[in-house]
Amino acid sequence: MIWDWMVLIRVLSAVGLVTAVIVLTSRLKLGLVSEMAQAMIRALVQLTALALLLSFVFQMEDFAPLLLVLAVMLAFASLTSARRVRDLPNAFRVSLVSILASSVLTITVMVVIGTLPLRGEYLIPLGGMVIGNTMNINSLALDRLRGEVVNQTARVEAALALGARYDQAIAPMVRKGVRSSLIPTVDNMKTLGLVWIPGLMAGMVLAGADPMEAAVFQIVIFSMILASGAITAVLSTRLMSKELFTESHQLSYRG
Amino acid sequence: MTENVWSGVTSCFELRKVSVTLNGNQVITRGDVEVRKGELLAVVGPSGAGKSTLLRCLNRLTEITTGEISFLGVPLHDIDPITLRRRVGMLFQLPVMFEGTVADNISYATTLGAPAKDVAEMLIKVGLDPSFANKNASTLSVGEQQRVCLARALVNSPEVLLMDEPTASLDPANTRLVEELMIRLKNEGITIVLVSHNMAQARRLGERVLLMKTGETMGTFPREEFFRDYGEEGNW
Repeated sequence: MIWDWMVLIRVLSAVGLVTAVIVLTSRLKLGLVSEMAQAMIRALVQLTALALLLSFVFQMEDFAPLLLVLAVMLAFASLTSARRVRDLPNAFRVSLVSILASSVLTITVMVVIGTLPLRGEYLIPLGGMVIGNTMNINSLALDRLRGEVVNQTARVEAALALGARYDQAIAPMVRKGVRSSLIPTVDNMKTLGLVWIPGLMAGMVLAGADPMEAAVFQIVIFSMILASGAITAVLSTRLMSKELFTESHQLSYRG
Repeated sequence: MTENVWSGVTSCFELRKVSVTLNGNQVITRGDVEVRKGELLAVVGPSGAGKSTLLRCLNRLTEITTGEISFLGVPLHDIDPITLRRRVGMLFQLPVMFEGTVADNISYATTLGAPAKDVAEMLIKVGLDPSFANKNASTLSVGEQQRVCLARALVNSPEVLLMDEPTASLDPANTRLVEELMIRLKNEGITIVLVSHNMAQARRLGERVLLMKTGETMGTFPREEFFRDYGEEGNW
């Protein structure tokens, strides 16, 4: 994008609108002034930095910077997910392995079959969307697994006492974790186009792309999110299951 | 199988200098006890004495910190925990039902590899009508659920049953039924270790009584001797 006066006027208009809202809320004493101002400044700074970084990365012909950006995204996603369930053992390692494996597998398949062009301007934003959504699904799956195990410790131990292996004893809790983590994504897919027009499609249409082309791309990205999310949910709940037991099939996590 | 040279009785479990530390707390400081094969041993003592923990060590739901436990002469650590738990069944204070029907619950061990048993036969064995098989397990009364738990454990054909206050949440009628079942199972040759805070029950059922206090086994006594010395009021 070229930085001309028109662009600057547009951004300033948007900032002016938010400033007006901030003034209004300060009069209503909602206690949101500081938070809204901070959010606005952070959004400006973070998105400008991202735009500058992406412009720089896209100009380079090398793949290494692209991979570096994706690696940083993965690390932050794993860290964020692990913080959500910080009391679970090895939450970061489990999240990293699950999000990495599922995202890389999904993105690779899409690149290999030619759906996703192997270019920075596609890989970074779409990769980011896949990693971000996979992170959310990973957090939901592990959080639900934790809740189920804490609430159903007696059931787990009753199964162990009957001679179940750890994975057999925890199987119903794993199923619930995987299922509940995928519900929001599946529901989103069901209402796609009926209730809401997702960001990617809206952006493409606004940028003047053919709506059909935008729809196809949106379907691709949603399929990637669902595939990657399902893989990460299955993988992370299974990996975490092992962490919750000793080698003698004793439940070591008590919440 | 090891012969106890002093009593001439075969040992089922032998615990030597057992201690258990959980989350930094020493729950059992010293456990020395012999459980004889085929007996019904009542374990009594004040709350927090470590009775339930001791029971959980016998099927390795809880790991001992120091000392040694052997089962029929074999150190517990030399037995695969899955195999051990199939041979040493357990009943908890509160019955735990898995999702599904009564038949699903009773067949649980079969899904893990135990030989299939006739559900109706198992229900009759614990005093329940075979028509219970298709009921949703969660709709049963606590007493009925506890008997389903017993039937579920018996599918593994265990040599030992560990019972952690199995009648604590039952009414007198169901308590009597479960006690009768315990006696019948003991007469069939199953060794039973029963943790109970109910001294009258310990007197009714226990052939010998193990007293535990503040994480220590204070000794195992013949029933009459124990109740002569301590009475039924728990004056320890």
